[in-house]
Amino acid sequence: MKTLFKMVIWDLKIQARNQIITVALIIAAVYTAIFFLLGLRGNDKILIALIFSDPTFMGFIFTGVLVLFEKSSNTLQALVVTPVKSWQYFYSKAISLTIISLIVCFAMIFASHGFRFNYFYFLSATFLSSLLFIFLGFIGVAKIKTFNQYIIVIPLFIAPFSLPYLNFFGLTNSPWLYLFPTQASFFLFEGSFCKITSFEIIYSFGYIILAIGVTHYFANRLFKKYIIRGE
Amino acid sequence: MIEVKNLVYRYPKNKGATVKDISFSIDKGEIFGFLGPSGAGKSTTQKILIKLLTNYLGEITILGHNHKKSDSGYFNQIGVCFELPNHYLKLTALENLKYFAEFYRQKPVDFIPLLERVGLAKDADTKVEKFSKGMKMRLNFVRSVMHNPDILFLDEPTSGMDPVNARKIKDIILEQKQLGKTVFITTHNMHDADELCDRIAFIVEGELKIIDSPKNIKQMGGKRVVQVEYENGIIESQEFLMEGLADNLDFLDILRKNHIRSIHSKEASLEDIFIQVTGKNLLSHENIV
Repeated sequence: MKTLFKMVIWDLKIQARNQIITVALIIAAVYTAIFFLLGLRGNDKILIALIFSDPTFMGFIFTGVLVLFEKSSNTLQALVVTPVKSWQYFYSKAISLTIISLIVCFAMIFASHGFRFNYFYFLSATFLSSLLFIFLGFIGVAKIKTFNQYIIVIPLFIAPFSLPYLNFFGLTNSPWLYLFPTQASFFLFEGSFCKITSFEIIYSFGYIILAIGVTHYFANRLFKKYIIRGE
Repeated sequence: MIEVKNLVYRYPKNKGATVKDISFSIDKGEIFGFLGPSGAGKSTTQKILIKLLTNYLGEITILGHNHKKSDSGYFNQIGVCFELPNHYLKLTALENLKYFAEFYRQKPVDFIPLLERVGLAKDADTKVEKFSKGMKMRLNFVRSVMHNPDILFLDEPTSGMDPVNARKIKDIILEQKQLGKTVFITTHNMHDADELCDRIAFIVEGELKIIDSPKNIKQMGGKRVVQVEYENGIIESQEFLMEGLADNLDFLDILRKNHIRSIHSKEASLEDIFIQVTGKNLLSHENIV
């Protein structure tokens, strides 16, 4: 655990040097500015829709970018011949990116909404959505070699996971969209501002944790196969 | 220290094996060179020894342990210097070393003397992205030795370096041997291999063709003659058999009556023997016709 803790600190330093933290903060500032400029203060739906995209889509993109940075500088090759374990590398990235995501999301909600919301649901929604998309990011980037290739992959992952926006905005009420774990993310974010049903609570926590378990399994396998062993 | 028996490795996408039933052993305190052209199987063998590739056939014992069963603790006992630089470019040289040192049981107390040895102390706080390839390679090398490992795996350790810095690296390698460390070098640089290695293995198309000391290998194909170059109005040269050289009147006559420019024994170079034994040139895949 001591090694993991130190790795998280170093990962945050590396992400800062690679301007990932700067980009994340700029995006948060732009979102907040848009929110105010469009006079949307008090419109929790739009706020959730904006905040949702940060731990999810940004988490996916940043994970890919970080791994591609490491692939291009061959640092993974150097890391795998040290006593560091693949899970430590894997979780260090996940934890450090989640920390950034939490800071950015809380900054956005404090700036746009104030301090009166359900912290438990907001923290859960941000934390779990972030983990899910970081693992998806590892899956997405596993076989990718260049940023250009990754740009093509991003919409292939993001588009299907965006479908629950339809239910969220009331355009549809399809139970099929509950198959996408982002539906669970939306319920948890909504729980930060209003009451959600017992079914929605159980479904959200149960399904997103299940989805994190499944994506973690595949991310770990693909990471070892394509990123570490380079098959 | 390292015992390899009947090692076979085939990449999942390849039809044939890249490493074909090779066996060798390396003693403690020995510098062992693995020489061969690109694609010969030397990097694959090294990848197996450093556990980057695992699904091999055969038996490997390193430091008394079955290699397949060794855990991540094995990496505390080895240092690996790759052929290409692999650093976090946005971190400084010192930060790169500190980051990697976090993972080892035995951490260096002070990194500066290590950087000093390879001429990088003044660049310790410079971001690696500003380094030349040679500087990055020297940093690679420092990283491989900083945790005092028992075995060093060095892949083209002087690649991209000028002669002065290559000399520094070679001196440290020889010091490591004096300290009882075992060194496994993969290279196609015959001069480095000749200078550093106690024994050399020639590998071609996945097969070991020969394992012996550089001296013995060079004697295999050398002509036992000396060549004398001398001035007698014009520059001339002549070869004499080493046998009975002291009583060879023609040889002695040349020495007495001419201005001698040079006298060389005509032993073969490692490269000559490599070509002779394998039919291949070290720097290419092409057969020598």
